[in-house]
Amino acid sequence: MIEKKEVLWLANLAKLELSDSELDEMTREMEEIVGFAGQVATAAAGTEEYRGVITEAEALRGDDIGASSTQEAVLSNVGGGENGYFPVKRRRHDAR
Amino acid sequence: MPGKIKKYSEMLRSKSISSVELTTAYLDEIERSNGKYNAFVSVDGDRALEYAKKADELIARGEGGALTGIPYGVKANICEKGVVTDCCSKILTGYRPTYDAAVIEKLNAALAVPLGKNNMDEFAMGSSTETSAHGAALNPVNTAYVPGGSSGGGAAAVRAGLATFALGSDTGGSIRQPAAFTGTVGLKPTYGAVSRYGLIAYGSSLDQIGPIAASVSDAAAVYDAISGWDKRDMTSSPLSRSASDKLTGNVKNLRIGYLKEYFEGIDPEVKQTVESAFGFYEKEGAVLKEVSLPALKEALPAYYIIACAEASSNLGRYDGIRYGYRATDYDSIDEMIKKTRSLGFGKEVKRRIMLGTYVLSAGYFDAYYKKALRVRESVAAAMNELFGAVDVLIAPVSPTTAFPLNYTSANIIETYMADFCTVPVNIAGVPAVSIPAGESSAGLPVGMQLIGAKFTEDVILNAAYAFENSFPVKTDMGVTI
Repeated sequence: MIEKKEVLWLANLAKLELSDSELDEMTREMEEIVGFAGQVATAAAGTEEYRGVITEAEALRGDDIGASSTQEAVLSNVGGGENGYFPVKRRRHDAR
Repeated sequence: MPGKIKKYSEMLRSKSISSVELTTAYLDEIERSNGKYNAFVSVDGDRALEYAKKADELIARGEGGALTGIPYGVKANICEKGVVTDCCSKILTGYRPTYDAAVIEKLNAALAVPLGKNNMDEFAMGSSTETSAHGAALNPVNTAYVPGGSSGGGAAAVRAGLATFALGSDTGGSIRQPAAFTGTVGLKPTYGAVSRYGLIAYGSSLDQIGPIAASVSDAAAVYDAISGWDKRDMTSSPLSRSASDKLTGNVKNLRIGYLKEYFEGIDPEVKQTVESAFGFYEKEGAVLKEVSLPALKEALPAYYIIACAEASSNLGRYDGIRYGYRATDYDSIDEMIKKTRSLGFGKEVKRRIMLGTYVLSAGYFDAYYKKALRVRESVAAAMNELFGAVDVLIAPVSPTTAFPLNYTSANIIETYMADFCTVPVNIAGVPAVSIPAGESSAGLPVGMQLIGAKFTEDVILNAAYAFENSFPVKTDMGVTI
């Protein structure tokens, strides 16, 4: 049984905000979805430890440093940024 | 079937058409018809024609390859430098990547012609392309139905003749199911065969980029062009093999298994249509037998636990600080981040983030996430063991034909359960191709899946190629050059 306070706790962990009506809806949906996912608990399969996605080829490479993104490129999605920073107002009414 | 890519390539080389003319034909058709299907969410005609012009120059010098000058669509979660790539989500509004995805680098080097971004379910989470922030895509076969998802825009574009092929991505069926719903060909390669560098992540241990195309040979040509090891993707593999040169249509002595569990509880017309392919393959000299994989039933909840766990981590980066949408009404940074995410993500994305957070949280981690990983190992091991006895598995792609519009949002769990045919393939990391097998009595396409062992794209594509003429992709819409 999923309770609203658990849903609120999860939402906080996930940095999501839910209105009262959204909380009601999400609680109902989580109950259904977790019930569906919970079928793994009784799964007969599943005694071997997971080995990982790639088992056929070596995943690691030598520690050679290559090109990286420039600061200019990385700041391009915030109009160039400010002195190399991503400027974010602390509060809605701040000038900057 | 020669396919469009080979046909166009020959026409371009013999100068009976130029890439600029071909691209213009596609751009004109998109202008005429895209509004009906919403297959493309953005198109850059000038950019496309620039590529087409360079392609023509390359061809005039006697250079270039199979995909030079060929117009295609790109799913909106695959990065193209400087091109808005928003995963059809409000939270990535206006995001322009600062680099090209590895697959785009390869297609750019080949001078294929990118037409624009194809519609998709938000962050690839969905089975209908209805969760897109740009509005739903519609199925060109019948616009009262969805084209499937999450690569529904690309599948719709190919079926409607608005692109020669499209790049999609498949985490739990998102290439194969839209291909089945629209009557096109969709290939999910082996995990690791195609670099994920530049694919905006949903479930990193499951995601793969692959082609949606109008023929098996087209899909093979695109796969050959985009596959290969990439040092920037640590899950990329050097073991992929070419497929285009292995399309003989000869399936004599091919061992084909049909999974008992896949044919239970599905629409009778889908069952009958896929089963009718058994007779075809037997006539061609293949050997068919029934096989069983009881662990399949657990694959579906295990998939949702793993995919959502990974998604909750991957989507943690969207906080409004460095790109995309940022909320404006807040009194602290923490509030800004929460408001940005709450207003920026759609409902389905939030549901999956919440499930992922739940299964990774203390107290539930062992029972859900760790157990799901063990189930994954069992399913993968069992499937790989099956490939000791058979070369190819034949299966439906979806238990039904295309859903009507608005069905999925009212039936969340039923929609998740409709993934049971596609998801085990992603869990096991093996390749699978969806090809048209027939039509329902309502005229909706029925797809069939051919699944192979890891890195046997050549085998499954050849088996698909053998069957293809029995029910070829219809190329009666859009650009019919």
